[in-house]
Amino acid sequence: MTFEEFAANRLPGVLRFAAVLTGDRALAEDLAQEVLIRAHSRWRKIGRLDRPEYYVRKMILNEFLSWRRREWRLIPSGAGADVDRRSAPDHALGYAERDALFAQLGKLPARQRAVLALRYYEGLSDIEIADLIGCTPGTVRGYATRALAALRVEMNVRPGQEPAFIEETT
Amino acid sequence: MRTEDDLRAAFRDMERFTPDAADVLRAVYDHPRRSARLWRLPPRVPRRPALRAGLALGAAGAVTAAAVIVATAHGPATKEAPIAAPALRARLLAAIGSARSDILYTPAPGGPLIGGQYPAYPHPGQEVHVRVGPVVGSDGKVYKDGEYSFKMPSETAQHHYINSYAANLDQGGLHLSGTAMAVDHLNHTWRECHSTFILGFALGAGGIRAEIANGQFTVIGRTELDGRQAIELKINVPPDHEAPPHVIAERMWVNATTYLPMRGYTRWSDGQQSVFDYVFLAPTAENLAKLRPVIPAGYTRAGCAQGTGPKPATWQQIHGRAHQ
Repeated sequence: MTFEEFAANRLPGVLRFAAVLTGDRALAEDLAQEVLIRAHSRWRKIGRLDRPEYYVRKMILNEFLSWRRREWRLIPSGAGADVDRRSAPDHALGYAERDALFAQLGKLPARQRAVLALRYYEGLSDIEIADLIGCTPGTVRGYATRALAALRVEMNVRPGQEPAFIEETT
Repeated sequence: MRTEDDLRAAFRDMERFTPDAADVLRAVYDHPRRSARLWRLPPRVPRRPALRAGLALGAAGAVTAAAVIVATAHGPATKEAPIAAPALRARLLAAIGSARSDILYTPAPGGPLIGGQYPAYPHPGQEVHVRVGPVVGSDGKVYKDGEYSFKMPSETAQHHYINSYAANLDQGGLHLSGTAMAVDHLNHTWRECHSTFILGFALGAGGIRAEIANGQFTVIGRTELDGRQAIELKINVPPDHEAPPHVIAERMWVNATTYLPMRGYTRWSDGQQSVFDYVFLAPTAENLAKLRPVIPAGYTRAGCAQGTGPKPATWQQIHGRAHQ
């Protein structure tokens, strides 16, 4: 697959993934740009892979997680409001609840947020997520459990499914 | 209580933050190809001919930056006896303390002074200004600029945040609220919004001071950096049990006369590395004025909405990273 073919057919999905990981358009753009600049320079190798988009998604994930390390960064974590309060806030309950959930997602540690995005947006299993992030499935469940508790999300325990547990991760 | 379906819906809703593919691709195609050997650690004065030969090879481009790191990290002592770590620690802390009211920039070595923070090492409750621009496009034009202003949190929160190596966004970061100001030079608009944001890793000189105060460094020796005498330190990175990439090497060079930090270097387990200088400027009226983004005449004020603050900046975004 050439880079141009990737850009035409696979890039939109990769960009959506970056948007969901970051929850912010500017950050998603930064994330995608930084990764794609690197991917473009190595495309001779990446393009030979069976599914180059998976490799690029993994690069996106790694970049997102590495941003959180040893770097100085300010990240908007909530809705802005005009300093002079000229903008009237929206009090509709649905929007308020959505905004509250967005804000809480924004405050989650990066790995917890990434695990939730991979599980509930990408639909990956804990084993697949563990492989992507580079940890054990138990650690993935630990991240998810803590994140869901912080967000006050009730897990649907399906027949035959063991409840999630917290595993030592530090 | 929310359900998992609420979470799925929230993530689907976040697709509206998807960036424009054309904008991303433009940046990719316009980006100048960087050399993998963008920057090397400065060589120290060797005593043994074997090491001198090794460094000469490095200068000829035959070894990568990582190889030079290894060569210098295990090299012999320099001509001058290295200062003892405890004594150096005291001098470094005093130097950073004396510069706490300065303006701190962290540009690429030799690069323009973009971004910047004032004060360099804020007191709790002190107003902090962090400029996140100007952001210059590949065409050389400035297309964004901005500034975050907030009050430094209480001593307890700050102490916990700055003194913990794990105090990065992965552990939740430091949650702040303040003002985000952004100037959009493409659309000739600006906005100023109350906003909440998360500060990742230690703020400016406070973070450097914490590393030194905690004794998390080893003195490597004396060297010359940009014509000035410097002391090279190896920051002792503690074991990281989180998922990769991890920081695997971190160096700092401090001025051998003033004992202020001069340059930082970080290398990750995935091969990425970043290099940046520390530039302390006196907080004169002229220097403070340069720190503020300028709103040109005729620009109109835009309203605020979620995610519309100034584009966040990192050291790596400001001056790029060298990739291997």
